[in-house]
Order: sequence, then structure tokens, then C-alpha cells
Amino acid sequence: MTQLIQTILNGVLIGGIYALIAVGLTIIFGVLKIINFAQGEFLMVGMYISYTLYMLFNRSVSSYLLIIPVAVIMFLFGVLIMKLLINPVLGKGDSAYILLTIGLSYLLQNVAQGIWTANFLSINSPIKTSSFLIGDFIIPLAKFIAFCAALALVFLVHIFLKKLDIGRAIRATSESRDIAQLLGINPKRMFTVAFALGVMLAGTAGGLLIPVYSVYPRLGVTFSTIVFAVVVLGGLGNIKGALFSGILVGVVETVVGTYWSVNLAPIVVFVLFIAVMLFKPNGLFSKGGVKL
Amino acid sequence: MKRKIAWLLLICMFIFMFAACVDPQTTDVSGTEDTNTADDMQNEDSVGSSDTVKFAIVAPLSGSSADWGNEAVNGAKLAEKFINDAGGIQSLGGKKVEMVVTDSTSDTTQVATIMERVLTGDQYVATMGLCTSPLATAAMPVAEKLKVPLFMNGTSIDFMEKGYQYAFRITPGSPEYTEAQVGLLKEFQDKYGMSANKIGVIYENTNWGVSQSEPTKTMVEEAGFTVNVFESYTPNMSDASALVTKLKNAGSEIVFVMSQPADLKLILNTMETVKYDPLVIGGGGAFLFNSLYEELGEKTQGIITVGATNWTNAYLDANAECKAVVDAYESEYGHFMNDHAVQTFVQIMLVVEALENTGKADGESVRNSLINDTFTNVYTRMIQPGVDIKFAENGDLLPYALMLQWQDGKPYVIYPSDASTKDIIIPEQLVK
Repeated sequence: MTQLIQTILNGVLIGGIYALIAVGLTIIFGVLKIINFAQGEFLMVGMYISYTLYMLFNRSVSSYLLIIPVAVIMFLFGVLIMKLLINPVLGKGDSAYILLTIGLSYLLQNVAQGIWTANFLSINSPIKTSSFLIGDFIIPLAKFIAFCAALALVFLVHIFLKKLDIGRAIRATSESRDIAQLLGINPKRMFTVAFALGVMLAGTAGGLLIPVYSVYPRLGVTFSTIVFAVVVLGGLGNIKGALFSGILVGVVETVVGTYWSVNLAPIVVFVLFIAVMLFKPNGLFSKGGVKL
Repeated sequence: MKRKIAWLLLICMFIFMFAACVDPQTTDVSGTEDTNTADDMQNEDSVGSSDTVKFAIVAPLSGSSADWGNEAVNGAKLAEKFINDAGGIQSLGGKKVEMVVTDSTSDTTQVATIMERVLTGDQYVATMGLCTSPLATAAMPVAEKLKVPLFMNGTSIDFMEKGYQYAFRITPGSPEYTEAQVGLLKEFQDKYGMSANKIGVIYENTNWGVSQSEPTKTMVEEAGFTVNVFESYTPNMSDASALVTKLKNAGSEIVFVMSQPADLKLILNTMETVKYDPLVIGGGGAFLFNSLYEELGEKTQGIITVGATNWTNAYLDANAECKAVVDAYESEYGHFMNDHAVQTFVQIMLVVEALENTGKADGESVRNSLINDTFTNVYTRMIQPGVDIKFAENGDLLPYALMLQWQDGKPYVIYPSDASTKDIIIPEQLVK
């Protein structure tokens, strides 16, 4: 039983990491109705920026302290991408978004390879192998920090969308662009803020993961597939759903990998995904429609 | 329109600003200074002068196999220096040799195209540098078609059984690797009273991992051990906790690992995080690189792995000329001469001897000499203990493998005893 609980705890922690990446993706869909196929690459860019800042400071500053400048840089990067690439295709149909974001993902991979080479880069951090005990259970510190950050970010995004005027404006725009416009809300500006927020969250996730993983240009592909499953399972546009489904996917993957086969774990996850789509196409935690 | 152009220029500025802040020469896997100068040597489109005998060094200098490839290029460049300083190829009137370096990438879908472009661009007497079985497998048909001997460093048995006339290998195959690993474990049992019996085998599900893991399982069980975990994983995994937890739950006392650098670090770090401390026996690969020491530092002390060659062994150390090679390598590149660097260096020396035998600088003549002649040049001591080299009909050599142990930041041979240069640091797991 102890081993099972430890396995589930491991799954919860890796699920938190999936949720961390998924939250940004689900916000972008919730507001702009765009499935962003470059979200994994935004994570990758965030990790590279963290690594670069870490090296610029001569490894003397903790990578966790660099999360704030990384978040700011990624927010501005999101604004740039929105203004230059997304705005021209707004309202032009789903295929335009899909093709654009797929092209953007390849562009970012190749730009990253050109700047940082294709080699695997990582930072040396004592946190990487640190852990603490809760009773008989070992909790890896780096993953615990990422998990707590995921909870905090979901909470902060929830507060932002519910309590702040700009958040309410974003929600209004996501529900009805025309009515929002009649109320004096600038939809384009709200779309920009939402998209940049989604990119910022992916980049922030990168800053939290660089102590754990090596970064390379195709890192985004490693996470993208599972994160899409998380977002869809949670309900597109459902932030709390992304958190819970991330944890669910992490637990399923880890339990199957530990007690059955590591190679079968992703297969089981996607069988679950297909089963949910057949019976609850709007996702496990969605009652239909978009809920931010 | 003007605003769009302005945004585009702003993005370009953003990208170039970052490119200026990042110097690829000083970034590496562990975030430490990169002492590797192989990037400086890459010369993708150069064909060199017609007064030189050219070797095509097609090696992965980017991607997951870059560690391998960079070391191979370093070994090649050192060989170039040694050969040319000694007066070049005497039978060809003292012609110098030239290593023409190309990045094969680590992508098996690209390597054949790259090899074709290289080998059709000029005349080469041999090609080496493809350090993994999948890369060599993808490129071999091109070398075969163009009649250029290709030396591969991988362990796949299948590769050498495909009937290629121009395929060569000077390193052990998977069974020889496993024989060494099992031999060491038996020695631990006999000499040190090791009682550990449960073995976990984890490997990446690539050609290399699969080809090495299967004979490992068979031979380990034949030696009386119990394989209680036999698990593959997809490379570049996002989480190793399931794999490590499985090993820990099963009580595997010894773990055989066949892994590339990024996954190996994830696995070892995860083991440390969950306080799981088995005796890890490396399957070569990422266990043989200086970057492991850069990543783990003092934690490498006592790590054991199998290897094909090493910068030091009893036979190499006893020969001044061989010793001069490894000393020159360390002096030039700032770290010990890795397995792949040694292999590439010796491969080139064998081809040079073939050129001296034939007096002809073409791939077909070199190939015929490699198959028909016995090789006696002094550098063979770096891979074989004092015996002359004779390739089998299929181009394979199959020397015995070595067991290495990391001590004080470098790997040393600890088994077999006639090749060893250091006493074994008894693994803590054996004295529990």
C-alpha cells in the first residue's frame, strides 16, 4: 500500500507539471478559440531564456529567481506573436490557426537550434536531486515546487479572471465578442492579453522545469502530445479542468508505468482519452461551452 | 503595413539580441564551459586540396548523439596531426592526410542524404565517425554503393551480418559487452562475496538498446542471476519516476542501464532523489563521457560501466607511443581521451597501414587490404592486448570488452585483470 501511495504521489507531482503547461494552452483556446500547436515550443523558449539568463549571471542566481524576468519576457513575446502573426488570421477559420501555429512551432524549433545548437543544455542545481519526507513518502523537491507553482498559478489566473476588471472583460469577450464590443471592450486588446498570458504561463513553466530537465530544440514535442490530451480531457477552455486532468493523466501514466509497463503508459493514457471523447466529448470537467 | 514591418523588425531584433547574448561555444550540457573544439573543425562543404589523402569524418555534431560525434572528430584530428607530423603516407610519396568533417546530425532520416552528398563530392579512402548503430545502419548503403569503407562504433550484431563488403568495426559486439559485465559480477561474487542476485535491466527502445539488452538478459540468467525487471523506455522521456520506482519496488540490487546522456542523467538523478542506491552497471554510451563527470561531479566515484576501449589500460600504458597519443589528446582538449576518440584514432591508423600496404588511395584498394592483411601498427595496442589485428571476412574484429570504473573524475579499467590499471573501489552496495 505504501508503494502504491508513493506511486500515486509521484503521478500527482508530474501531473502538476503537465497542468502547469496545459493552463496556458487552455486559456488561449478559451478566449481566442485557437488550439495553439506551438505551446510546447513556448515552453521550450521559456526554458532557453531561463538557461541563458542563468549563464549571463554566471550561474550565481537561482533559476527560480529568474522566473519573474522570464515571465515578463515571455509576456512581451506573446504580444509580439499576437500582433504579427495571430491578428491577421483572426476570424479566418480553424484551418488558418492550425496551419499558422504548426508553422510557428517549426519556426521556433529551428530558430532555437540556430541560436543554442541542437545539444542538450541543463543547469546544475542541488534542488535537482533534493527531496523531503512526509511520513514514509519521498517528495522530490523540484517537482513539488513545480506542483505548488501550478496550484498557485491556477488560483492567480482564477482571481485574475473573476475579480479584476480586465479579467472580466476577457471573459466577456470569450463569451460574445460583439456584445463585449458594445459594452466598450476592445476585443483585440483582450485577445492580445489572453494570448500573451498563455505564452507567459508556458514560459513560466519552462523556468520552473529547467532545474529538472535538459532543454533542446525539440523538447516541446515531448510534452505537447500529453498536454493536448490533458487540455482536451479537462475541457477546452476549462482552467480548473486542466489542473485536475493533468493530475489524472500523471497518476494514470505513473501507475501504469510502475505496475505494468513504461512503454504502455502513454497508450493507456490515450485509450482513456479516446474513451472520454466518445462518452463526454466536451471533457471530463466541462458541462459544455467554454468556462474560464 | 508599416506597423507590420515594424513589428517584424522588432521580432528580428529580439532574436538577434538573444543570439548575441548566447555564444554556442560556451554552452554545454552541464552549463559549464565547453572545452570541446570540434565545432571549430566542422567544415561541411570543404573538399580539401588534391595533394592530400582525404578521410570523410561524418559524425553527429548536433542532437542527442553530439557527445559521441564530437569525441570522434577530436580523435580524427589528433590522428591527422600524428600522421602528418610523421611524414604522411610514405607509399604515396609522403602525401599528407586530411580529415574532412561533416555534421551527420543525430537524425537517422538525414544521415544517408548527408553521407551521399559528402562521398560524391570528392574521393575519400574511408569514412568514420558514425558512433551509433542506427546512424551507421542508415548511412551504410551509401558507403557500400560508393565503395568507401565505413567504420562504425556501434554494438549491433545485425549490422555486421547484413553482408556489406565495406562495413568495418573494431569494437566488441553486444555479446562481448555482456560477457564482460557478467564476468565482473562473477568476480564480485568470488572475490568479494557479493550476495546480490536480483538484476534490473533498463534500456532505451532503439536498435542499440534492444540489441544489447537481449543478450544481456540471456547471459545474466545463464550466469545464475535473476532478472527481475526487464524494461524498455522511449528515449527523451519526460519522467523517470515510474521506471525507477519499478526497480525499487522489485528490489533490484543491480541495475544494468543502456541510455543516452539526457535520459541517463534523469534516471540517476531520480534514483538519488528517491534514495534508491543499487549497483548501477552502465552499458557504455553516456557512461563514458566527460560530460557525465561535469553533470554529477563526485557522484561519479565508483560508477561502473562497460566500454570498448579506454584512454588507459595495461597494454596501452606499457607502450610509449600509445601513451603519447592519449597524453596529447588530454593536452589538446582538456579531458581524457574518450572511447570514441580512441576508436576513431585507431580506425584511421589501420586505414593508413592499409594505404601503406597497397600504395593506392582509393576505397576499394583500402577495403581489400583491410580484409586480406594482418595489421601490426603499434596503435593496435590501444584496442587489443599485444596481438596483431586481422579482420574477419565480414569486417568485424570483436575484441573483448573492458569494464571501467570512474575514479577521481576518469574511467579506469578494472576488468579483465590483465588489462586493469587500478584496484576496484568496492561498491558500497557490496559491503552492506
